Amino acid sequence: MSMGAHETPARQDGQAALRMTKLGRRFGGIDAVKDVSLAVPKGSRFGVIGPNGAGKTTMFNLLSGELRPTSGRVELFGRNITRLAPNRRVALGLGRTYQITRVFRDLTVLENITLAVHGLRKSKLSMLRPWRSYSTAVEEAANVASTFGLGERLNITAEELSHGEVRELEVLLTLAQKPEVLLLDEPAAGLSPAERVGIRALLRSLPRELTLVMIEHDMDVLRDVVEHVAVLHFGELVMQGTVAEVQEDATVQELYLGKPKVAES
Amino acid sequence: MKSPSAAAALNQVDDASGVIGVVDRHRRLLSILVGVVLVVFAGVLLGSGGFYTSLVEDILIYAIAAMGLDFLGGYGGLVSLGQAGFIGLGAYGIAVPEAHGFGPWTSIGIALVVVAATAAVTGIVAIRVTGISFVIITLAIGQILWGLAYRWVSLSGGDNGLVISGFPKLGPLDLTNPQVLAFVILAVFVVVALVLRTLVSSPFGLSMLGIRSNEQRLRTLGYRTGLHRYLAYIIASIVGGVAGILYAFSNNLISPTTMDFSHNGIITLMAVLGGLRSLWGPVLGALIITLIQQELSIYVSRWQMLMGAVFVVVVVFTPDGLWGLMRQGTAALRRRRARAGPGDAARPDAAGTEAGTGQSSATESSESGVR
Ligand SMILES: Nc1ncnc2c1ncn2[C@@H]1O[C@H](COP(=O)(O)OP(=O)(O)OP(=O)(O)O)[C@@H](O)[C@H]1O
Ligand SMILES: [Mg+2]
Repeated sequence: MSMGAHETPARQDGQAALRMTKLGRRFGGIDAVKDVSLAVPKGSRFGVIGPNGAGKTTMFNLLSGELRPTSGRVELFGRNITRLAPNRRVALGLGRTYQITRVFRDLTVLENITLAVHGLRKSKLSMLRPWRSYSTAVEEAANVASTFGLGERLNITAEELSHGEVRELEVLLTLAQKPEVLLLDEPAAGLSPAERVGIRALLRSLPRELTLVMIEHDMDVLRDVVEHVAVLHFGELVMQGTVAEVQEDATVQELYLGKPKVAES
Repeated sequence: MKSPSAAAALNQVDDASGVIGVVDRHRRLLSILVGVVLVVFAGVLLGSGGFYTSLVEDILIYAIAAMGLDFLGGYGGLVSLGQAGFIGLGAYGIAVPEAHGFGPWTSIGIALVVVAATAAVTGIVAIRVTGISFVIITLAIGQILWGLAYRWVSLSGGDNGLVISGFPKLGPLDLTNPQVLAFVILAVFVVVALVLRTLVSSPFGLSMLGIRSNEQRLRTLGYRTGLHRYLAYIIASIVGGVAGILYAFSNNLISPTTMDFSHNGIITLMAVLGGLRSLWGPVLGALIITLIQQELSIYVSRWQMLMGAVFVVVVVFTPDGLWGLMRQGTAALRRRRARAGPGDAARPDAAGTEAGTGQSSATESSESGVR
């Protein structure tokens, strides 16, 4: 998957794909995200961990534009996107998935992915002929589905899919748009070990040039996919390093005390 | 990269047998057939002249308005309570210019422009909200339009309304002739139905389904959903306005009653009772309610209250309306058949899509592991 149709700004190599500077978000009196400064290099694979309520999802919402930060700034390939609407960020190549899946439940798998395929094209406003007659878009959608075993389920509504398949569909919606930076919010959440096989294969097969930031509690999945890990706690970035460094770190172990699934799983 | 099975699933052929199977395989053909039969039937009634002509005209006009409402409500999840306002606007759009000496064709042009402009302005407010707030805002818009018709006496004739005096001529088509007018209304109905049918199956129509299903997700897939809702609102309002233009020529008179609160409610009820998210639904609803109204208003003076009760029952018990009930019925029958037949007993609704493929059994087993 390549850069495709995105209106990408000019950029130099070695530049950060995503850069957060003193990023913060307050809810009432609580700092859900506080003073987070983090640069995600182009093409790197980043994991984000932290206890429940650490502010991981809130950080993603600031990156994707669903929430406005109360302080700090966000840059995508050097461009300030702090105040940009979510749909504009998507057009710049920033895709994301949700911890709680947000697929179009009463639409079929094919309709779901076709919506995603049209999302970055002018054709999404076209009214003159059936969407099924846009054969390139429909074939593209079917191809995306079949790369991950949903090819046989095209005409089934999302609510009839198994939990694991819905998780895959959630990721496929975003992948269908060929993002350059992909934010995954606990893609394996709630999956049985057997179901994780599919999503891990999917994650491993992501194109190399893709920049990936993934929230994940499961260290096995992380080791599989990412090189660097950032640790959030009470909204603050407490450390970052390689997966091994983070796993051996005393503070991190303390944070996760009583959370055996991270310490050893 | 493209797997042959994906292609097969795209051209899915349902293998159910019997009547249901035939209905499934030829759904498109059948719906065209039903449409043609209905249109011919309406044509015969329209040709007969007299009472039935005006009854069928009413049904067609309200069906047009209700289809427009359905496009917004059924596909976009934005149920309007102001559609009668746009019928009135379209009708006054004819009556007022004609009263000022404009010809019928010019008046039709003016009516369309006024309707589109009003929709464009009110839409800016209406699309800021969704759900029940949208219902209330459109109700308010409908009431404002009604209020204008009622109070702006110098323009609208107030309570007495305005008489439509001029009818358009197009070559041999002279709408002064009631027979010709009736068939023009039928033709406009068919055209509007075809246009809306194309719209709902287009990528734009798919985006409306996406908005109804999960608007926030659609936004994060790159859609400016507000723009989509705005356009849908304008389209639905223009369709209402077209119904109003026909109403003006069919009734020869427009007064504020046509766009009062109960009329707004009735058009919404037609769409909801018949069934949103299918263009047949509102037509069915318009047919049933116009007939009931015809009968009931003779015996029951407070028939609107009865309509209100019907509304509540429909919303509570059959959210997908009568058309939805019929579809559920055939789907249930099909499931029963599939279950009785050999093969995929566990997922009857998936039969035909994946029966006999290895993939199906794999997902099947992983699924049973979770649930
Ligand atoms: N919209 C909101 N309004 C108010 N408080 C919020 C909102 N969203 C998040 N919070 C609060 O911000 C904090 C961080 O929440 P967040 O969902 O980002 O955590 P998380 O790290 O993703 O946790 P988890 O691992 O459970 O997903 C929590 O205390 C949460 O209650
Ligand atoms: Mg979270």
